[in-house]
Amino acid sequence: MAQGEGAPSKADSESQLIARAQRGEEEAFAALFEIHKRRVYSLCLRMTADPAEAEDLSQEAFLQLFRKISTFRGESAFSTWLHRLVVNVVLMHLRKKGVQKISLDEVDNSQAEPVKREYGDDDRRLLGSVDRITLNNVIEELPPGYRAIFVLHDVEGYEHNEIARIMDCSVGNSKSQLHKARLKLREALRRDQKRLVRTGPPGRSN
Amino acid sequence: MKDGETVEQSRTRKQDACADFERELAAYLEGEERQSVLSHAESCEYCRCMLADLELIRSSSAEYGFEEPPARLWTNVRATLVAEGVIRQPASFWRRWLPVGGRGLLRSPIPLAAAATLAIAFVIFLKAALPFFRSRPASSSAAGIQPAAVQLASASSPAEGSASVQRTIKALEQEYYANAQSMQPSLQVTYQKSLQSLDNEIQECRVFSQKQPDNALVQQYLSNAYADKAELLQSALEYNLR
Repeated sequence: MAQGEGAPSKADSESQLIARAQRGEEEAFAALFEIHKRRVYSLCLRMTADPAEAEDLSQEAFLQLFRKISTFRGESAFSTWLHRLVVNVVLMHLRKKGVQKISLDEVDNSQAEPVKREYGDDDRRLLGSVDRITLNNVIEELPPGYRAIFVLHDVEGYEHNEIARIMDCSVGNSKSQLHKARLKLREALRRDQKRLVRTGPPGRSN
Repeated sequence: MKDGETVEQSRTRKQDACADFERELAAYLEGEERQSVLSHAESCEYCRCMLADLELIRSSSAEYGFEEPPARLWTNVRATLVAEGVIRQPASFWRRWLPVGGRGLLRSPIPLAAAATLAIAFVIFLKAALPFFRSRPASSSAAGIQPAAVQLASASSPAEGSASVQRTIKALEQEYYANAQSMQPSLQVTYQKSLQSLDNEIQECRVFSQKQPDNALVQQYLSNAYADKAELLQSALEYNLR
């Protein structure tokens, strides 16, 4: 399970904080915010690729969380509950913006589809490493559903069973969507790399 | 090509092996045992590249790390929760001792008489002491500090604004550090991290500002960072004074 960064790391101390927050204690709200703020903000940032939107969405997610905290009964992990809420806030926002909705309940046919092969291509492999900016740009190109699962799994370190609870889909669906997301990222990275080879790095085009 | 095999048969066999590889690849990347994936990757260059690329994407993503949100995020969340009553403010002195609804001192005549005597004594003391307080210069305590936003807005020129903002922040900062010890340790850590993050932002903007003094965007970022810092310090002081 993906742990929140920073202290407190033990579930019992977090449950104490939750109990205190349910009584309205400010220090408990501040401590819970401190534990989860970077993970929540990063998820919003990866999903929107816009710091201002990420800040607004993080604020909305924390407000919804703290308003509803009195209803939290501990049936699921707090971080799973929080991330489900964050993903819902972000996806709702993206839908309002008119981004195409990707249903996670759709039957996944990716295993049946062969990968598009370009035999005879000399530069088949990605070069050495992928830097953060390049990765950021191609993640942004992913449809929201794929993006959420990719970010939750490969960036934030959640397991598929947790993602299934967060995204309200099956474990198998989460796995297949992740694989499709990775293949799409590879395609986009290779496309960018080819473009770079043709035109040269920025600033050297003339 | 195997012995006795036609070109067409060889191509079909290879395509089948690649298709098997693709079917098993997702499970292999999930950490499941799939020996066929590795053995096929050794013999097929295309599939070997695909495996290497996907492993690279996975490892690069894991190194991504987390981003620090702006310091004002907590200030805004907290302000909304306080306004909505989700965060419960500690009851004030008067509310605790003179609750509405008839509980506490007001229920019994003896404490009520004592409270009335105290109130009269306080008014007499205030009358005697007021001229003395009026003659003293304005205090620089946190309670006397003008809201930072008002001070920041009152500057009339950029140069004056910058000096005025820095004076305001310095005063707030002195007040904050004078009171920081009495703050809840967990809250102090939160504020300290946020301040550190804003100081880094200010420092970065200053460096850019020296390199590009005419860049309006850099000036705007710097000004925003100062305003955020003032707002954060003010929020910390308000919290501590309660």
